[in-house]
Amino acid sequence: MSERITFATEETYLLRQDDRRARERRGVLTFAVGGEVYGVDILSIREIIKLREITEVPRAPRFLLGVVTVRGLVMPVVDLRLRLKLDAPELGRAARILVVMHKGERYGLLVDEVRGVVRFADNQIEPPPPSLSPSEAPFLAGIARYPEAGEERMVILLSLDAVLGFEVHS
Amino acid sequence: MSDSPTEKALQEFLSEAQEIVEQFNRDLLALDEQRAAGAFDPEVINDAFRAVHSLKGLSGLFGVTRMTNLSHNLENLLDSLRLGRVELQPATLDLLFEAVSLFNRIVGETAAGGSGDDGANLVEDLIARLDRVALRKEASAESSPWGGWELDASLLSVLTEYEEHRLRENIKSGRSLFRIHAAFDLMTIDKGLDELKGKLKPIGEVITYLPSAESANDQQIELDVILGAQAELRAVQEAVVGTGAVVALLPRAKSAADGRPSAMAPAASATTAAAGAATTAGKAAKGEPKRIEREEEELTLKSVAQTVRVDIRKLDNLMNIVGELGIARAGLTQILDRVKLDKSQTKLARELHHELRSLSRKLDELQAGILEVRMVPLGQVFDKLSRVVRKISRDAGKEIRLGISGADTELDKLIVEELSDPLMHIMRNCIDHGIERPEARKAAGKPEAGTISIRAEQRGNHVVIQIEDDGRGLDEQKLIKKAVERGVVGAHEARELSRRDVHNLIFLPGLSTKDVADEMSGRGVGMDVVKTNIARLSGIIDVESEPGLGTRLTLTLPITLAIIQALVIRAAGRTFAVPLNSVLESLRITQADVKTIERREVMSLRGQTLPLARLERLFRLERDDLEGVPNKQFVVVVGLAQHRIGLLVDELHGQEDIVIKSLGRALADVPGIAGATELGGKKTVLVLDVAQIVEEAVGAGGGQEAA
Repeated sequence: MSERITFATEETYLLRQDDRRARERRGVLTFAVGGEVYGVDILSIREIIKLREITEVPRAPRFLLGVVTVRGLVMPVVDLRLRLKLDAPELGRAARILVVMHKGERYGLLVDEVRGVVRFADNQIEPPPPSLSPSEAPFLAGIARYPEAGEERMVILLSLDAVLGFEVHS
Repeated sequence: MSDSPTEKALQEFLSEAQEIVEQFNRDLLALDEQRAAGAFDPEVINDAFRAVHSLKGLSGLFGVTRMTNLSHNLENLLDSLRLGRVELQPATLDLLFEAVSLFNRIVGETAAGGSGDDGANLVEDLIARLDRVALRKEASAESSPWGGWELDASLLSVLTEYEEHRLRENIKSGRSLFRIHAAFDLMTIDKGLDELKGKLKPIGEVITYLPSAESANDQQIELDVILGAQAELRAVQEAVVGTGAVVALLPRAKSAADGRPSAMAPAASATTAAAGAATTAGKAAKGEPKRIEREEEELTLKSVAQTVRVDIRKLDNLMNIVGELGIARAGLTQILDRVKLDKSQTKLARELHHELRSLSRKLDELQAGILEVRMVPLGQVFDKLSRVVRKISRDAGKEIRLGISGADTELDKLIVEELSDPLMHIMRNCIDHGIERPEARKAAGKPEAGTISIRAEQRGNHVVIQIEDDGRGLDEQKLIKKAVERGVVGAHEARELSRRDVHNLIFLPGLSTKDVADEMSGRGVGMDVVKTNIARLSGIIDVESEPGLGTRLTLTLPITLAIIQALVIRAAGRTFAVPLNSVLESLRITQADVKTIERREVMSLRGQTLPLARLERLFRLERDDLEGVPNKQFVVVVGLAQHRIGLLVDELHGQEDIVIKSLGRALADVPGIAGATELGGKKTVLVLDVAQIVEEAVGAGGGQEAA
């Protein structure tokens, strides 16, 4: 029995990978900030903690509320409402700090409320619309639509690179 | 994160490579010293050879080709040195030291994940130069064959090149050659031979051992050991008494210089001959490369069994956990206090108290234990320094004697790492600016070679490092002139500066180098950078100088940064921790004690004017409490390096042992904040960076007005 061997060309290989990627479903943690729903890759979330006293750090930008210690580790806390230049209503009882891991370091993200985890395929994600205001655009990695309870919902995916890509200098 | 097995293995390889390079460096330093003394130990060259050989093997495994190539070519050169084909010249040593730097660079670049293309050229260049030296034909060795010893051709034909070289060396240094004939049982030959060598070692150098042609029976092997020793036949015989070995002095030709008749020597049994001489430094040289490899394996096994290499981050993590335990302990103590209040629970309270006390003690021991593990000897940096001093002084055409004491003084690994740059800068300054040219020194009646001494010692919780040179000292007039030119000091003020103040001018940016460096090597490094680096380690630097006699820099450093004592204070409604090692004293004052000079707040403390600083003003904090500044206040006097200021605070909350934690990459550079720490009750408190605050407070007023 002779079997014909076909070697995968680079093209077919890439196609197959695309295919696989499209089928893989990505988990996104969704949360509300300033009345909008945002999401970040669930794999970057380390834990979700209740609001606690945040120690203010002088000379830091306003969106950086200060630092907290979680399990012995000190991390900066970013107020996402201020970072994304959204309205900042009073924080309610639902407010949480998301502890995210980014480039080997932990950060806290202050959000109004945690919604849940949604899974979708990569091909359900659209690039951010060009019409967005320039102040918000750099923070967005894309927009995903997904059906829930017979309705189409939308979540704005945040780019942690952009949100956490700040440095404080003298 | 990068935790894949290969990554981990690579890290391990890099740290091992670094260790080997450091060992290699030490070998070279020893050789340099011995060369200057006129006689070197062949074993040190062998050690260096082994180090490079291990590097070659290791780097080959990990595909670090540049390192493999460099090691391979170094091996060639070291082999030539071992065999006496090349003489150990200062220039050759320079090349070897250059290789050390290059190795370090390759390790650094590999660690950083780069392939470092620019480094490749350097490697090739060095290899080319190494080869040139390695291939240079030696001059003299061939000319005087065997110094009058009658050596059998069949012996000479079986000697390895190395053994032949050692033989020549021994003859050259006028030692006698002996042949020791011994029989060993086939099963125990290794042990027997080692035992024999052990007995011979104290009197001479075992040059080689060869199987004897006169085989007695199948169960035994007979060997002829060839020994070189500065000893009489009788002494050698006594040394091997009880082993059954037969010693013979090798015959000399009639023409031998000392005219000893060859008849005196028992005739060697024609088939083998022996040669020998005492080693130059008492250690027997090891044989051909095969044997060297075997020994190297043993060495590696031994070191693995006794030490463990640990990533410093793992220790940081342990330290973290200990810190957490400390907080838990504080919590338990509070519970105990509550239990004590309940009179019905006295027994429980007593038991709890008892357990808590032993927990406390063990926790302290654990903490001390981890701190101790982090300690490394300062010698690690000093080794690097001697290499640098050697190079700089050669470049500058000055002869420098470097004296080091206290190399075994231990400091936290992190501090030792951070110290190497500042110390290097200081050395460079000493050599470039401090030590005069040999002619000038001679004219001043000083020895031509300049002396730099580094002394380290532990004093309580600090380590003091003093660097002293016997150079020309600081040029006070020039310093003042520069300071006035740059507007750092007013012309009027300048006249009133104390000598100490004048000396401390070298720590101001832009003052120490420029002008002075131009006329010297042009390589001056700002002492301001040194000061900043030392201050970052919570250290203090001080300078004393005597014109014409020399300069002394004194560095005072905390032993560890991991756990420090801190004074907890409250200012502007916030809590801060101030590292206690920079707190000089704290006092209680009233608003009336605060005066202003040119709108800056000061107070007088024992007749001296002390500038005051308010954290809320420095950090632009808004006061939470409406009543404003309370009338009664505290002043925490802090001092670092040359300056001291008083911090005005509202409350003192006492001392605590704290673990300083970084605020993370994003906030690492916030001026005035060194980090954060967790106090009881999940409270995160910022730790002040006193050095920066002092700098800022002093810089904001003092200097500027003169400009």
